[in-house]
Amino acid sequence: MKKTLCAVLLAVVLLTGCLGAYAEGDNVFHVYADRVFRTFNQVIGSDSHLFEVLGAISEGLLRLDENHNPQPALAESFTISEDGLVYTFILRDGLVWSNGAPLTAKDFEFSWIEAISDSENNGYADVIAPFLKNGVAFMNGEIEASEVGVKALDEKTFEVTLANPCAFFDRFITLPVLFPLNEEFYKAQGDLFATSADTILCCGPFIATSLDLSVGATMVKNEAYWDADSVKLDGIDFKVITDSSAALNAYEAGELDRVNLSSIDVLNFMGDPEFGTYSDFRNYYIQYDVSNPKMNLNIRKALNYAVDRETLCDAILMTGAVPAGGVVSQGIHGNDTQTFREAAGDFSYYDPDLAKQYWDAGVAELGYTPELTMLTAEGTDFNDMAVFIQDCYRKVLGIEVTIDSMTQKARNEKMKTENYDFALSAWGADYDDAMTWLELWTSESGYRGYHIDPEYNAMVEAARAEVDPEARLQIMINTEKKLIEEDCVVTGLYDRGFSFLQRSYVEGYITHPVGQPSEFKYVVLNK
Amino acid sequence: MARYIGRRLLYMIVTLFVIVVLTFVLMKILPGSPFDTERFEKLTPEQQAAALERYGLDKPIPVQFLRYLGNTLRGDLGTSFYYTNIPVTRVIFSRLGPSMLVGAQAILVGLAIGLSLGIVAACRHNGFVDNFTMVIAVLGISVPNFVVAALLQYYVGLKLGWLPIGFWKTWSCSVLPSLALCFQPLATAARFIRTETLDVLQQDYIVTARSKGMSQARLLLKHTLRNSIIPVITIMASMVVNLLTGSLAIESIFSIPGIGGLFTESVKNNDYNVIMGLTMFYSLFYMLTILLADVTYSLVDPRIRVAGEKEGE
Repeated sequence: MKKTLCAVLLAVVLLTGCLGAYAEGDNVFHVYADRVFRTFNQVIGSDSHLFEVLGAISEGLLRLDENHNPQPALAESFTISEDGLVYTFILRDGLVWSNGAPLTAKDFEFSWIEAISDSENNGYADVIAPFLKNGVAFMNGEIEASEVGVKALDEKTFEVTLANPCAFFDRFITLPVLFPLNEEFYKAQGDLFATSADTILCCGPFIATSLDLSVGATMVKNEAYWDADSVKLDGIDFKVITDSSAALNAYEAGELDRVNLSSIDVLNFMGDPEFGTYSDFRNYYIQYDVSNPKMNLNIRKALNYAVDRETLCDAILMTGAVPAGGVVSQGIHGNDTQTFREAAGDFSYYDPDLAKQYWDAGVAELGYTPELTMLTAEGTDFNDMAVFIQDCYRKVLGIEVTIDSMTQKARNEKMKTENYDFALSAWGADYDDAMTWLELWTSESGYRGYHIDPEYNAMVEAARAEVDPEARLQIMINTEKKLIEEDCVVTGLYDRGFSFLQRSYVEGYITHPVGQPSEFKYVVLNK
Repeated sequence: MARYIGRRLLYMIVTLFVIVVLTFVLMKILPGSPFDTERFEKLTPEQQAAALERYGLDKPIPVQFLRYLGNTLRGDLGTSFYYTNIPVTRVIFSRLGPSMLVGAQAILVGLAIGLSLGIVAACRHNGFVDNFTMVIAVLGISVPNFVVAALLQYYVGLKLGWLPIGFWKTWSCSVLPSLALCFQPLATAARFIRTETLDVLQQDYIVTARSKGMSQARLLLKHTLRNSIIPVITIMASMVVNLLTGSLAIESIFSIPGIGGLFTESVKNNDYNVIMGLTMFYSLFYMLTILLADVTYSLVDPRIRVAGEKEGE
């Protein structure tokens, strides 16, 4: 019996081979991901935590600085042709992969083609392809890769030809999906690529020493990195911790250097010197079903103006969320002097008197008072928001709205296949430009409120084709104005916020509102 | 015996088939698709159709089922949707180890302490040890393990700093989760073995043995335990399966990359192939354990003959 027990125990211990080495030491930065990784393969991934890991172990042509402006990275410099269509990047001298192979312009050509080659699996193919000359045609399998506007002219020169001039292309290409890939290595690994630290190549500030989808990633400093002098950390320990109170415990036990707080914990830590907040470009909004007869324009406008966004952000969510002025997030690039929002003003805001007027007009038009149901997905943010909005409608409009809460999958399915009144939904920017939202409402699907409007689609197309940045900005402002203020297809509520605690000895931790959410390269631990 | 086991294995295949059919149908009733909906919605209708076709999701459900069954018989459980394109077997096995280690330790510790406490309690019936054991047993069964886990994490891990508060780095990381899980088997084993031992101790043959001057230790180990342990085996069989296949709450509190979390994830994400793979794994494991328990009975007590096996045949 004893022998059997020993044998069982031994077998179990052998099964758990993953109890492995971790980067240890004083100068290691400890952070966490709040959900498991889906993949470490940049070609098929679109997850924000993956982007954080990739930003540490790899690098693009350019890298964002603390003000979210692109700075030379693997590319030393670049030039733009007069018509704004051709970008020529010159790579640095002596770039190498972690296996010693030279890193060349070919590696960019390969990864960019790979990124748009398989639209069902590749998280960002449909985002990237429209930017590149012949990108969409290639993605749809109509032409050969050699016709796409992506070329390695020689070892060090990488030339990109765009489909349309794009004012924010330099910021766009900091997206980790567009980091280089070594074709020979990638193809040799096949399905096993990026499933462990041995099956991935690194070229960034750090080198991966372990990668596990459900455990996390560990990294050590890359001494061969071109800017190794700027990297002060010895390594990074990036754990997966899915439970928010477990993460807070880990922070208090000294196992994490930074932790995000949930709304319930915020009150306990407000005023603490380690406490801070920031917001990003993920906009939460109300989607109306415009094909639904009882959701007439006046009713929709009433629901728009009746939500007190300030109170929602400051008293309910408390995580650093900021009231939205539309679907385009605060802080999205506009022109050299103003953000998009500053230039456009607010289209979504709280005005109880206006709300009441529109409601009365809407009810008069219908001839009856409609019973409304709000669709929402499960999750603390959505739940708290739904209850608060229900309360706003009760106070401002004197109506009782039913909340229908279901899993996100179920809600999306319902929005897609059935009629509904209105739903709470969200969209995070793929790049720092208003178009990342505006183009969504050209799809004409139920998920976008069955909004079918050729005039709107034409405005989006006009903005895409416009070469002059100011004129383009003006078209986009008018497009959002039409979408929200005039037609009220959708209305913005807030931009997602985060509350966090960070050890006082941590310096140089940068958060970006879009793309790669956090930057570890410049972190210094002043212990 | 061999015939008996053979027949049981045959039944198992039938049961497994029924389970697979039911799970498949229930799973398809779940709303939504396995794709990342936000991104999927942005694809053009043609791209969406192509994606569905690639995974055979455009076919009617019976066709999808037959295709799945065919692949399974060939040993191909498919790839995960959520963990993009990773084979289901690899996903499951990568998460199995931690759950099994934590579960096995919990069972071993729970059984060892539970059985000892229960036997001592029976021998000291109505004494202090007996009352103490019963208090432990009631607590162990009524306090949910996630409460124990949270308390252990906070006091032993955070306040005292004796053990890691979670994660999966060294063996010491598995101690607190195992402790949190061991109370239930401990309490159950203690309660059952106590009752049974009390019962057996009053049997005539025990009284006889005792009157012949047999030592207490020999009496307990040789004559009592073998008779009193049978109900514990029955109870333990299902508990072993539960513990070895992971606990969502414990895994999430201690950030253990186990299989309990994988199962919930897969259902939430409509990760069809992982749901099917895990369900089959659970069912097989459960049925095999029950079979093992039945066979163990006859080893513990030679008087018990597994059904159909006649003496003298």
